[in-house]
Amino acid sequence: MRVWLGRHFIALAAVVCLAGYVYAYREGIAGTPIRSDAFSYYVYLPSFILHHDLTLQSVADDCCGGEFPTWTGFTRWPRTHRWVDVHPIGEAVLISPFFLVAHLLTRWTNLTPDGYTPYYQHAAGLAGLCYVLFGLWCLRGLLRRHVSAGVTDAALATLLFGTSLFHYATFDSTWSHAFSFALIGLLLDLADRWTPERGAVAIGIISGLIVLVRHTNVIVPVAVVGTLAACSRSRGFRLNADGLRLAITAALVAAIVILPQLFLYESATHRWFVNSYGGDRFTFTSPHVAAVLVSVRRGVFFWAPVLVFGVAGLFMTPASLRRWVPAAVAIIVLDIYLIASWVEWQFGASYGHRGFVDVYPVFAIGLASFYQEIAPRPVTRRAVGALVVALCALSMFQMLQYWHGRLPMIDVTWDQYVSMFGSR
Amino acid sequence: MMTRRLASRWLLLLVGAAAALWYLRDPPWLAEQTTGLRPWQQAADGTRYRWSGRHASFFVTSDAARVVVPIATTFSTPADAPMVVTFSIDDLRGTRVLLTNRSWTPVTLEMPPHGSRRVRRIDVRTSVTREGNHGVMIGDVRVER
Repeated sequence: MRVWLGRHFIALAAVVCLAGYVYAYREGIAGTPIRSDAFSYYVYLPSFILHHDLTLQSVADDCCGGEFPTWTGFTRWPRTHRWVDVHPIGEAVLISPFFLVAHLLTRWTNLTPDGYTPYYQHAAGLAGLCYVLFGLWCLRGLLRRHVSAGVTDAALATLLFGTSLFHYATFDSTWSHAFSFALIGLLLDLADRWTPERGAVAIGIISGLIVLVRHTNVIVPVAVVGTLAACSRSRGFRLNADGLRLAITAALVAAIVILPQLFLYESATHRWFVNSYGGDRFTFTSPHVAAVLVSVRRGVFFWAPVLVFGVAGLFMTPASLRRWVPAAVAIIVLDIYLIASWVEWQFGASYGHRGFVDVYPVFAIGLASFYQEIAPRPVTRRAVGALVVALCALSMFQMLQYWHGRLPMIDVTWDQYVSMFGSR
Repeated sequence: MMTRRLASRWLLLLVGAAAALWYLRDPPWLAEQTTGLRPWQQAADGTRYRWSGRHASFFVTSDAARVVVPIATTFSTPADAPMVVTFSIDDLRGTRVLLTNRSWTPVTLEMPPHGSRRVRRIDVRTSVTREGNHGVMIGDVRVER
């Protein structure tokens, strides 16, 4: 039974995620997939592919009478009067194969080919779901090289059901987090398999895509490629020529991947580098560190306590994974600082703290290492296993409460949190 | 070499995909689909209508020889420009109407010969919109067979 479950782990995860997705949309509790932030991540596809318009104005005309509503986050650049999307093009690039299939199906059925009818909507929604599964598949490949199959599956199941990952694979699958999760999982897998003979271009492409989906995630490829440049498997931490060659090649390839985004910024604003949010939105001198970590409002460890094992595990990694520890710690620490310094540190509506979903692959390394460490101790293993199952059940329960509107989307108070357990 | 089991799986997949495509060619739920139309409202005189945005679409049964679509828009401020409303049937240009006052205008669409589908898509596009992305009010559509 255990072998069968392990062999079909990704297929089982797909079935469960698909069931969650169908439930969220059949019940009508999730609205349509392309909503809120997802609108601005997705808008490039109808504009570029259907309207052949790089300015986004055609979509503004078609959907919104010429002006994007304020909630979309678009701004008209003062000097050029052109639209600047608050979100970059990476997610749209990743959705594009799904979009093309949806467009062909839309034509086949004779639905309105405007980019927002049902096939387009669910192509975008299912794209996020598929990318989460792909991310899990990549992580499975990475972890299986270092820990046992059982430990790998336990770690990934914990990540899927004990954190907000399931939510971002289903209910909010069109947000950027599902896509970043997949790319970062893939980057870690590629980097772990990298040899001087091959892999540099692929690492560069994935690094570029990570930045294209969410600019601040640049810290991940820098830390990962930096690790490869600064340490070799055999000689520990030491700059090596092969690693430096990789870093240069990957940086060049990533720069080429990012170029279309820079071109868009330039054509809309006459500047190559733009803060699409406008103004100074970081508060680096007064970060809300405790709030993003442990608060009931949005603390990542409050809403996904299993991640504590993921952090603890980073200090118990098997020798073969140890070279990734400094990068993993650096990514987590920098991410906490960046998220805590963002003026909107709760990241608006979210189940758990969605800012951390992107770097769950890093936590996966810690989780697997933790489970591998306790695996030979039956009593500890059973105790931790029981606790993790309970925490996963709690996470799923909380998520369903959020889905049904029994938890506010933002600014949750302790009283609201406690009352959730009494609501039907 | 492809095993028999693998071949049968591929065959099953192909048959499933073909069946899905056949169904999606003309699904029964299409008749109820609309895009860019707000919920039904009722005017003081009892007329039912739905506001469109700049672009709206709806479906009518394909046995219709003629479709009459009553439309109107607002002219509440002097800045409200006349509005050109363009109708198309299955992406082919049908009729173009200029609205210059607030009265209801019945637009008659002569339907071209229909194909094999049960329903046909009618798209309505307006040249401008009013405050809050309001295009035209679309009343109850009359289908003549």
